[in-house]
Amino acid sequence: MVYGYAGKILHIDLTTGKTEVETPNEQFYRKWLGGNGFIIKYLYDGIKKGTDPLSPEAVSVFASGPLSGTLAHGAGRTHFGVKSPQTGLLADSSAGGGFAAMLKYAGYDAVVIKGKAASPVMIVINNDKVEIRDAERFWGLKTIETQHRIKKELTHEYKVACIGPAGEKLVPMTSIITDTRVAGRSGNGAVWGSKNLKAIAIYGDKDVKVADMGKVKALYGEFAQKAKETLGGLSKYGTTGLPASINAFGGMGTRNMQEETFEHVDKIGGEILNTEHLIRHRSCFSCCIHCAKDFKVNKWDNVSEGPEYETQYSFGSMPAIGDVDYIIEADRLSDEYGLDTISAGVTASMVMELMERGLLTEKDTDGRTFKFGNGEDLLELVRIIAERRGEFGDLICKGTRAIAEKLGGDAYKYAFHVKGLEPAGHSPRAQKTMSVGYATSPRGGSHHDARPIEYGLPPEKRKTTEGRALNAFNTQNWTCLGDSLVVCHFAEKIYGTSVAQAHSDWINAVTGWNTTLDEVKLIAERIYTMERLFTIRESGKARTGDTIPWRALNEPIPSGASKGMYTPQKELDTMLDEYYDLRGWDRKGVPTKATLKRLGLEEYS
Amino acid sequence: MKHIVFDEKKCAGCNLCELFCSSKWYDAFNPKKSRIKIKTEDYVAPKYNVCLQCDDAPCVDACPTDALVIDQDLERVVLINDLCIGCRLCVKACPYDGIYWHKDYKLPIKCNLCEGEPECVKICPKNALSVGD
Repeated sequence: MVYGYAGKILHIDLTTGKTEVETPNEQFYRKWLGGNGFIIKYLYDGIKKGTDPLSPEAVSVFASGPLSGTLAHGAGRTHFGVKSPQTGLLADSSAGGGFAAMLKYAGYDAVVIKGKAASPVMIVINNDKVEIRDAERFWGLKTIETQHRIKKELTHEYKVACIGPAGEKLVPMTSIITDTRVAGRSGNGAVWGSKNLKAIAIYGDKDVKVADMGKVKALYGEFAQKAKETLGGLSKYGTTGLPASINAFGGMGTRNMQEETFEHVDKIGGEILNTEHLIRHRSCFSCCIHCAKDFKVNKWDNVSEGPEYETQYSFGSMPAIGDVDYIIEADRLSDEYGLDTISAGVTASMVMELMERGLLTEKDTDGRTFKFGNGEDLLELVRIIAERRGEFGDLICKGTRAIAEKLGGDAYKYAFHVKGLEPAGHSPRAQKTMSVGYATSPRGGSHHDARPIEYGLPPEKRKTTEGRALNAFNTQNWTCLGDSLVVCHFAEKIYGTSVAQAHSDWINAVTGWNTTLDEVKLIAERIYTMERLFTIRESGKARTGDTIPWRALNEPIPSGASKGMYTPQKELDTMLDEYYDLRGWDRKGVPTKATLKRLGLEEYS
Repeated sequence: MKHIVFDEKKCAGCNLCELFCSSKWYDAFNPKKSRIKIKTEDYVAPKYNVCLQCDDAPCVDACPTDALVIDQDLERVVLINDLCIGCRLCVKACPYDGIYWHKDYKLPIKCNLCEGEPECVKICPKNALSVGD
């Protein structure tokens, strides 16, 4: 037994109904660590090149990490991964809550699901007992109701993760929800839908044992103290306090990136949310920061957990909605339907711009007009996407890339996506770290690979490309390690934004290993490069796929503190060259044989 | 008598109290071995369960071997391990769902206020737990 781990990985075939328990050796755990490490290993090995993400052959994995179930910060998070039906590439998305901790208490480190059930089912895991049960009665229900009903049947001691109606309809931009926490990005939900898998319920009462309890508690104590000193803003506002500062910085995507400052930012920020909408603060399992918030939609007397910053951007500044009630409501609807708020909001904003420009007309939209700034239009677009309503819904639910491909002409200029995934609210024009970061992310427009670390810098210091490739490299390794441990990324102010000694200390205290900082860095590089191999295999592209949206390459920010900034191809090329050198990939963006050997990935050369 | 008091307005539902409790008394992270339970649910305030150290304790009445006794000096309901036969009648008798059973042990899981300095009160990041009457 390896301390920290359960020592078992559960395999479930929904076609045959058979389950199997794998007991990997210690070497496996030390090589892949957990979370995204397990996911990429089982995805790469488990599906053939070119597998349809929504076919029975596709694999869905969710995983805990060595720290899950302990009292490490945010160690209740769960990592869900599939080949994305939205991008055709890696989708791994992390949800808060406590689902992975419960998985560990039930005695498993990860679950690998393949096949397709003949009719809607749910998987019920009660420690060693694993059952596939009929779930026809839950099909069609929204996510909160689904969880309530399942818990009512099984007892409230269970943790449940489920999909909503959008996932059932195979909408590509769909999420998996556990409690009110969401693994939002890249379409995990549709893959469950394609397998007729409505939900997974887990109950466990086993121990998570650590090698050095004294050290684990000491590390927690240090963390909690520093969190109190430095993360007070997160505790008070979550990330909802960010719009004001990101707007002042000149990087808050507005009107589908036509601008990067939003005139109504004060109406959608943390102050108004906390004074007029806040019901209570909420924590993920085992986290002392409690950054989540329950907010009330005053207009309709509804409650939603969230929005957070990314949703204030995607349902706020991007579609130019200056009434926060509509943002909370759009967030709530998305959670209930099981929809990714970032992709849904950015796609809705693109629709609004296309209509403004006449590239999309009422003939295409079943007779409706959608305008920037109109909250009702936004809610309607969310419903159309979630319900995949009509021909119009069938098109826009696939996201901005699909819309541009269908319309042709100039539409591609207004499609804000990277590799088919709409970026979050951290501008690739205002921060060149995010240009090279998004371009090289295996997931596309993900803000949880490279991190936006240029917010403290004035514009004149942000115009250079110098050091930006290194920023992206360091922060990607850092988030990659966080996603394999599996812990929350909001410890940035405590551990810094590159892989740190503290990571190695946590791993050693929990597992009893003697990892060094170098070994831990190597693990992060290994997992990231393995994700790169998956990107190359599935897209057939390396450097040629590493790009950013048209606007980021061609159109300077028109106003605000970051006025004039963008990243022309020449600059991106400079950063990509540096970046590939740092990673040990060749200038075409392909990992070299020597790099694969250094990372212990010889078998994938 | 004195017992753990809970402020639902302050609790954010992190369950760290459960992890500190189970690790202190059973050397493992396992909420099902915690003597205090926090139930979190979407859109409503968290709830808690713990032994309330009742003055008129149904568990004491239910215990067939007098393993549970009210200690007026210590101001709490005390479990005398040697006398307990593991019949679980106390678990059933408690109207507050404050005593628990786990298959790994032959004794019930019950808060003893950490013999004076409750760990959960000490570590609660939101100061939602305290000792009171």
